[in-house]
Amino acid sequence: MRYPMNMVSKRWYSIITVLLSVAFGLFLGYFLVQGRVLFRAKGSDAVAISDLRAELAVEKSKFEQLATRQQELETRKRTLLQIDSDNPSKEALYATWREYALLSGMTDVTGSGIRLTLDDKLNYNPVTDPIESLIHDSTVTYAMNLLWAAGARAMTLNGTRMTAISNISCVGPTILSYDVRLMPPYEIEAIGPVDSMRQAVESDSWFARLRQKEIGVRIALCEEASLTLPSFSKTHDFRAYMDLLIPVEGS
Amino acid sequence: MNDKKDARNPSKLSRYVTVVAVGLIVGLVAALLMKTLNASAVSDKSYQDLQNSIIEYQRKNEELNNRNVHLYEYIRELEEDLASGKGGESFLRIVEEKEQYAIFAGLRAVRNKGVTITLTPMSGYKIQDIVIQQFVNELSALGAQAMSINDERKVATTEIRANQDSIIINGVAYSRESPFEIKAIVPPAKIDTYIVPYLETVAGNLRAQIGDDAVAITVRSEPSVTIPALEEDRIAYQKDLLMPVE
Repeated sequence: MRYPMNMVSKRWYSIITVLLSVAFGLFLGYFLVQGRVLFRAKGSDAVAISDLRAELAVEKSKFEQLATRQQELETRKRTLLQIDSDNPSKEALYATWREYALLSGMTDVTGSGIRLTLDDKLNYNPVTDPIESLIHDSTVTYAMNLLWAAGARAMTLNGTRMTAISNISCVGPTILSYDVRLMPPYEIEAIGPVDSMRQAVESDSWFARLRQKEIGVRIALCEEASLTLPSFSKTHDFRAYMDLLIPVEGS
Repeated sequence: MNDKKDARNPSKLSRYVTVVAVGLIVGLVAALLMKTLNASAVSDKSYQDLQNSIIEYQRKNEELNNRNVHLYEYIRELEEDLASGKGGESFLRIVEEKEQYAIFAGLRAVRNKGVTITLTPMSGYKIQDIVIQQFVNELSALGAQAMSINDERKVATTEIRANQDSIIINGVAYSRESPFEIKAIVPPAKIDTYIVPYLETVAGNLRAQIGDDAVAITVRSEPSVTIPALEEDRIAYQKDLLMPVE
């Protein structure tokens, strides 16, 4: 069946008119929404958000000041202790103090090690991707246990030194470590025998599974000739994590 | 002929107007719906995130402030003692701090209220390291301040790994066919109301995964639990690869 030429062009005209009208409607709607957003910017929600941003900036600035002050006080304390340790009668006391500070994670330490980075699958889709495609607290603690078993001597998770109480848990989509919310990527820095730690990560069957395409967790490992890990005291007050402990006399 | 054409034109015009109007309305509604959803979702999320960040910073600032007050006091005493040539207050403070480091590092036995978890394998079953690790991780997340597994103190460098018929903890091998006892000092106020019921749920989930007849798990609240110190000959005591930064 053949249509006359002018009938075909009329039909096209109709289609184009409808499409143009819809497009025009979309533009109009977009401009209306923009106008409404601008109008609402003067409203209570926007004012509340703006106030919160200002309050956050104040708290951040206060934090920077307090952290700088803390660094200064720590340096001053170390200097005074260094002077005091020259006293022969206190030499033994200071030697033990230094040893315990080192073992408890209360001293900055340096040495060769590795940096292990764990990150969620790129463009993670909760509908189609398995739950293992996200990094969980259990993935992080598994990695840490693997590195301790491979001989790691000191470790940090996103800059916080791990201690005898490696406080790591999951809160929604983020990980909580010593009451601080962490977001991926999770970076574990470990000082210890480099070859042994690298081999432990590379040969681990669970990590091999996580790396598979269908899970897609991103795991990166790099060796570092010199790593410096901060003391736990730089980020937390250790006394808050031992207030329940009553020493047993004579131990 | 002309009359017929004129009569048809108004209906044609109204048809076009209707088509254009419907198209406009469809486009408008679609744009409004999409943008309204996005705007409200983003606004709520950023509001919540900002509130959380502020609370987190306030908490950090309070903690930092307390630490600075403590440090300031410490320095003042040190300066006074150094100036006077005596070793009174500062000496006691160093001894106290040394002991606190030792406790925090797990080098001193400690006691308080806590919980005990016993894992007893049924005949022929070998306990998996991941079961012990899970309880240790759960206890850490619950705020445990000291822990031991078969009286091996858990310290920063403690590893828990299976090696054939054994589970290695602090370099010491324990048979996978023997019971394992995990002891922990946890916040006393939460023991009976939250911690024990939660750990029993974890135990139930584990039993469902590995089988009811594989391992018996008991969780007990203890009025006094003693966690031993790390023994100095343990592998976890090693510090040979660490250089303190002066």
